[in-house]
Amino acid sequence: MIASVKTLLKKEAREFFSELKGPRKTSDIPGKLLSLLLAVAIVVVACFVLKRFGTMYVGIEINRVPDPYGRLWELTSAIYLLIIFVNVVGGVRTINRSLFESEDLRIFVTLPLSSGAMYVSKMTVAYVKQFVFGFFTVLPVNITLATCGAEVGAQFYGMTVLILFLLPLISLALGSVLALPLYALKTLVSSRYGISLIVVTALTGLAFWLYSEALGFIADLISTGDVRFFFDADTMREIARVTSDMYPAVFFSNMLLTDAMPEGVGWVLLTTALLITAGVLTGRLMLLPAAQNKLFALDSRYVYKGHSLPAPRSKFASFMKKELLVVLRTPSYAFRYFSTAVIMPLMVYFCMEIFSELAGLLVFVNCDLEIAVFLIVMFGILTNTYCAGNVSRDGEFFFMMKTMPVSYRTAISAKVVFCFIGAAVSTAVSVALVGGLGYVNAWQAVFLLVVTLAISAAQICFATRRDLGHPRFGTEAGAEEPDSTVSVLVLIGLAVSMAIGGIMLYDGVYLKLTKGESFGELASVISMAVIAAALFAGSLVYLFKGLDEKCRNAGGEDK
Amino acid sequence: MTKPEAYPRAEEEVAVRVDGLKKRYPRASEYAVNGISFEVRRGEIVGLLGHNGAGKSTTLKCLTGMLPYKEGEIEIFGEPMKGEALAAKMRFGFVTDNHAVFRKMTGLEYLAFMADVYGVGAEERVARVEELQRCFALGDKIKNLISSYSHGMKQRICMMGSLIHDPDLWILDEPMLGLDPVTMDSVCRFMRDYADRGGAVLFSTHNLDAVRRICDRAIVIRAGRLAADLPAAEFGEGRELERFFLSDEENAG
Repeated sequence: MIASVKTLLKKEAREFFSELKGPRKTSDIPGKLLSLLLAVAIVVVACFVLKRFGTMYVGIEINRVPDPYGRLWELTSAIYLLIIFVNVVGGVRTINRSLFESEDLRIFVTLPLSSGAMYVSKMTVAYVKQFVFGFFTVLPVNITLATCGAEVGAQFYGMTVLILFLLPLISLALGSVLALPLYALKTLVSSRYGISLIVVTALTGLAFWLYSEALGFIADLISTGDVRFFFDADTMREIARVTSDMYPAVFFSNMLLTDAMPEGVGWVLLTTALLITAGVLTGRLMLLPAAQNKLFALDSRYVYKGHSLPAPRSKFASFMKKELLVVLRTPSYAFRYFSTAVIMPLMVYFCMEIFSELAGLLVFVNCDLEIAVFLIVMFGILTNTYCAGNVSRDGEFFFMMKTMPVSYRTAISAKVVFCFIGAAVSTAVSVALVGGLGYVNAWQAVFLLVVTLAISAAQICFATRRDLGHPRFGTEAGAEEPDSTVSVLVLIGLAVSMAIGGIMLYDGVYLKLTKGESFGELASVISMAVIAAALFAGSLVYLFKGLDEKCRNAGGEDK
Repeated sequence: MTKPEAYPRAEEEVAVRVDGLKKRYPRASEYAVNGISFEVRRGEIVGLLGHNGAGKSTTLKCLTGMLPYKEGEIEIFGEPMKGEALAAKMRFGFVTDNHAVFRKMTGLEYLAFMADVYGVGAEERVARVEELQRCFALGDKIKNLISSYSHGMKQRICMMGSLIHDPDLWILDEPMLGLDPVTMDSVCRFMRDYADRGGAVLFSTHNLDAVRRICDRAIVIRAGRLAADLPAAEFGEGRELERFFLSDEENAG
């Protein structure tokens, strides 16, 4: 078995490094850079917020009695519960990908490899991934906790190292137990397209709303100074009671901060051992059925029943319908098309309030129109990434389309219009929200709508044309394709929205202050109109100039 | 969409004319297809034979507009295949070798999509689907998502989609792959019937039995060049095709 595990691990390592060394065309370098930047930004912001909040929290006195270690213990327990939750979610995802969604196992199952060897090799890779994730999350968080005001010693740092090794074990073991029912549930829900779309959209909207409310609440507490009164003696007693029940996170707090460290280590080891036993049993039990694709063939158990032969449509309408069906019946596309469109107005709404207040406080000038343009453009670009795979999404069918009596313009235009409908609805709702809340007046709202729609259309045309130039076709039409264009689109989109935001703020703030309100506003409106018109016209030319030639040559240009 | 009962062989119209076709892929040093010329007429079933990588699929892909080409001429019923070639594309139906269908559509939705693309009317499409169902027998499964289909069922829905507009020319890339003997038999009979009603069939294959059974001609491609154009009389019931392939292999070796 050891020889088999070694062979399988070598294969995993070779695959990992070949992906890194792969040709530039196939590796998504902008995507990887973007993910890295995003991860660093999240960790830095989280640590910054934790440091500010932790310092304040550790200094809280109950009946004028300070207890920095007690406060730090409570904070650590709460933070570790969150970290364990995130790790378990990550663990379940990793296990699902390694076991149920991996094509490898279908090959392995035909080879003389024991299920133990397969399981150990897959779990080792999952453990390494979780360890790396933990290294970049647990370590900065622990270092931040150590600087919050309560002095910590060698025990804290020593135990941090031990936790780095133990935490992935716990999360993977717990993940192994949960992976099976969750995967079955996911498969069951994802094949019911309508329900899955509504549930995912509702959950995402709810999560975003809760996050915004929580953030708003904390910001209110800090800005009004109510934070001093919020953590009164009763509240603190309640917090102490709740955090003392946060198992298994309290074991980690004990390991890091209390004299009950050996006890804490013992409990953590015992919990880990129990969970690993349960995880290994469940994991190995489900491995072979998963590999043989018997237990999880839920997709084929539930068969969508269509209706009679659909009525005739024009070629354009038929291509539009094809796009709609692909979106509705592919959960990840549906999420990107519908759910993100629902979230965008919410993002604009929350940020508009903050930015408008901030501008009023900092420069005493009303530049709500400029802020609205910036926010709608930025969030529009960030959420409307569906168009980035407009061509690649067709897979091999793109080549089939080339044999049909349909002009390339019709086929590509249907994709652009379909994407634009989704983007236009979320843009219009955002504008209505901004107008309804009184940030802009009626004519400004109309102007805002025209400008943002033009930029949105420009983004779709640009993304479609770029995808046509660098298509990454999946093997089957409607199969989910790798999307490197998304990363490029997001990077370029961010740069464009920053540039637009910069110009808008220059006009809206600097010119209003130096040359007067009306001149500034006029300059601002003209700049916006010119930029939007230029982007729109430029993207149309970029997309449609030489479109036929580009489509004809896609995938096999003659030398 | 009614067809004449049978076309007189003496007045056979040229369905496909390929003249000096050359195709080289990007970054390739050699031509995948190097100066091929042939014709396919109405009423004919022509098999395109050759080893893997000989240039069969490339020829078919150039012929159907899937791949661009710069050298040589292709005409479908006299319509050139250069540019978008919408008129030429209206005349044929094409079945790829890799099931290029939307797996998130039901079989019926896919057929309706293809009918829309080829401008088939409401009543006509219903009649066509019924007629095609008789041959390809997807039954009630036609209402299911294509993603739930087996390999053979996907092949059948592709064939049905390519025939929804009752084309004059049917082009197929490796159509026999993955078909069970019963379906293969019904596809062969459908091809023969289709050709007898005046249609032209051109397909690539490695299945010599199928070629021997239904083809009027066999075109053999070797290393991108036309190696032979054999009428049925020359390969008939005997082992000529096998002999040709064996010698071809020796030559290749």
